[in-house]
Amino acid sequence: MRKRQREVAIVGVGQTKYSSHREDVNQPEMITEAIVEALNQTGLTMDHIDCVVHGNMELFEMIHQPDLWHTIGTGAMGKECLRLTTGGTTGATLVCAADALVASGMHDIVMAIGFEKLQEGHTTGGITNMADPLWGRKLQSGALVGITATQMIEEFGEQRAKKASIDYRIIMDMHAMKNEKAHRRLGLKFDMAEDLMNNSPRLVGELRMIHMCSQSDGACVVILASEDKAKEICDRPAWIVDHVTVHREEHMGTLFGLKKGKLTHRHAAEVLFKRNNIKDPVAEFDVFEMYDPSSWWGLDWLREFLLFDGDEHLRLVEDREIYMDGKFPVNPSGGVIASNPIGATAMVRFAEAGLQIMGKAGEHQIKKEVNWALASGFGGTFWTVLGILSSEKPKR
Amino acid sequence: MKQRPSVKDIIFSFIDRANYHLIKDENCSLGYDITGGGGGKWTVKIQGGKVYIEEGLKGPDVVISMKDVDFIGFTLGELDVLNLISSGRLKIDGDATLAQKSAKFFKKYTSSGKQDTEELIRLKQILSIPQRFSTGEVMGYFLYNLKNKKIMANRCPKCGRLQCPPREVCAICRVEADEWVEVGPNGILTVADIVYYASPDPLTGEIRKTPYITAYILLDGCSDPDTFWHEIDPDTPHEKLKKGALVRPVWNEKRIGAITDIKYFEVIEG
Ligand SMILES: [Zn+2]
Repeated sequence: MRKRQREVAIVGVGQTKYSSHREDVNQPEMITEAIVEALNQTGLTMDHIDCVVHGNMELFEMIHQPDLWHTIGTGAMGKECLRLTTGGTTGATLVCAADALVASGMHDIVMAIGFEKLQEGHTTGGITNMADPLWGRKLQSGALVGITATQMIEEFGEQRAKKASIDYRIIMDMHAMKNEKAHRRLGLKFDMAEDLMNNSPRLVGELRMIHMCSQSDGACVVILASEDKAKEICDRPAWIVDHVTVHREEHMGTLFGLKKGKLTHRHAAEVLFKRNNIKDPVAEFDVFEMYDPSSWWGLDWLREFLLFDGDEHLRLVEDREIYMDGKFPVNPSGGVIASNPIGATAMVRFAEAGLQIMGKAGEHQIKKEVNWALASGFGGTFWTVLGILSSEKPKR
Repeated sequence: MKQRPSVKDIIFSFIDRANYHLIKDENCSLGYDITGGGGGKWTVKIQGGKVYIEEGLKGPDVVISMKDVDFIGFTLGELDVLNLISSGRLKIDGDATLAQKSAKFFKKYTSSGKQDTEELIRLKQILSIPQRFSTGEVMGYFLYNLKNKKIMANRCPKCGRLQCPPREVCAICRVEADEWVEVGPNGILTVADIVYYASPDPLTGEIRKTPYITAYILLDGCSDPDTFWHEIDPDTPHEKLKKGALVRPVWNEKRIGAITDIKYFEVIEG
C-alpha cells in the first residue's frame, strides 16, 4: 500500500572518491566534496535545500554530534536538520527518511548526506560493540562471519561453492575497475580464481581476505525533490517507487540452527515484490545495487532477494549473468566489496541505482537503458532496507 | 622528482624508527623476503630492547614476502596493506599475530627531508570507557542460575519455543514468556566458525589468541533454530566441528554470573 501525498525522485548524486587514505582532509572537508558534486550536477545551491538529513555509524569515530561539527561542511546552518544512525543501513535509512519528508509534503527539496571516516576509528571494535553487551560482545568477531561459506559448501560442495564465490568477487572487481570512485580496484582476472580462493589469508573459516569488503573513507550525497520540482532539476530523474525496512530480534541464535534461518532479506523482498506486483525480479529489474559485505554473502543473498530456492543464484554467477551487461547486472559500481564507507555505503546503493537510471554512471553505465532498479541496505545483526527506483513517475 | 628509497635503506631504517618503549620486553624476529632486482632477504631481530638486522632469513618467527616495488610503495604509505594481502601480493608466513602487532614497533617511514607538513597533523587518541549494564529481571535470573551451573530457558506460551538466552517476550508472538525450563547442559553443534582474524577482545582490549572457535549449539530440550551462541574449546581439532557433534559445557571454577561462567563447550568423544 503506497500512502504518499506526492511522488519523489532522486535528482542529484555526489560522491567523494572512496579510499583508505584521506588523511588530507578532516570530516567536514570530506563531506563538502560530495555536496559540491551533487549541487553542481543539479545546478542547485544550498539556498534551494529545505532540509538536510545527515548520518553515519557513530560508534566508529565516537563523535556523537557529527551533524553539528559538520555544519560548516554541510551548509546546514539555520536549516532544518535531522541526524540518523541505524548501523549498516544508515545510508538507506537516510534516503527513506528524505523520501518521507518530501512525499509527506513537509519539504520540497531534501539533501541526504551519508559518510564515514573509518580510518579515524576502529571498525571491527566498533561493530563488536553493537552487540548485546550481556552476551554478544564477548563472542562477536566484528562483521566477519564464516558460517555462510560453511553452509554453502555443505549445500553445493566445496569446489562449486568456493569457485562461485570467488567468481562473484572477480566480477565485482571488474566492475570496480570501471568506477574511478571505487576504493579497491585490484585488477583481478578469472584465471586467478584457484589461487585466490585457496591462498588468500583466512579471516573466519572459508571467509578469506579477498572475499571481504574494504574499510573506506568517503561521503555520498543524494538530493531528493518533489514531483513538481524534479522535472525542472533533472531531465531523467530516478523516481522512488517504494521501499521497505525489516527488523528482527537482535539475538543471532535463531539464524544458525540445523536448518538455515529465514533472512530479513527474503522477507523484505516478499513484501516489496507483492506490494508492487513483481512476479519475476530477474526479468523485471534492469540492475540491482546490493549491499554485499563479502562475496559469500553477496552470492547467498542473491538467492534471498530474488526468492530462489535452488541453485539459480550460483548459475547467475557461473553464467556471468551478473556482469554489468549480463541478463541481471549486479553492482556495476563494484559494490560494497570494493568500497565501504559504512554510513554512506547503503546510500551509495540507492545513489548508484539512481545514476544508472539517470544515465550518469559514466564508465560503468550499463549499455541497455535502465528503467527499473533495485537497491538494498544491510545492517549488522541482520536487518534489511530494500527499495525500488524507476525512470517513470509512479502512478498514484 | 625525489629519489625513492631502496629496500635496503628501508630495512636498515628500522633501527632508527623503532619505538623503543614498546619493544623493551619483546623477543622476536621478523623475516623479510623481498623479491625483484632491488630485493633481498633480511631478519630483523628484536631482543633485549634492541633491534638487530642480519642478512638472510635466520629462522624468523614470521616471514613477510613481497616484491621490491610493493615493499617501497607500502612503506611510503602509497599502497594499502589490506589490498596487498588480499590480492596475494603480500604474503605472511608464520606468526601472523606478530606480523600485525609489529606494525606498532616502528614509527612511520619518512624519507630524509620529507616531513608531514604542519597543516596535516593526525592526532592520536585512545578512549577507555567504563560501562555498567543492568541485566533486567529475566537475564538476571538466567545469569544467577548460570553461576550455579544451570542453563535456564524461557518458554513462549503461544508458539512454545524455548529462548536461551531468555528474553522478556517472544519477539515473534509478542507475548510475555513466563515459564522457566532448565535446558542442556549438553547439546549438539549446529554450525561453528573458526576465527583466524586477531581482533581485540572488546571486554579487555587484548588481542585474542587465534584461531578461536565460536559456535551455535542446540541445547538438549530446545528446538531448532533456537540455538545457544558460545565458544568451543580452541584446541578442538577442526575436523570434529561437524554439524550434529555432541558437546558439553566446561564451567569456570570462579563464576560471577556472566556468560563467561561457561569457559567454552567441548566436543564429547564417540
Ligand atoms: Zn512465540
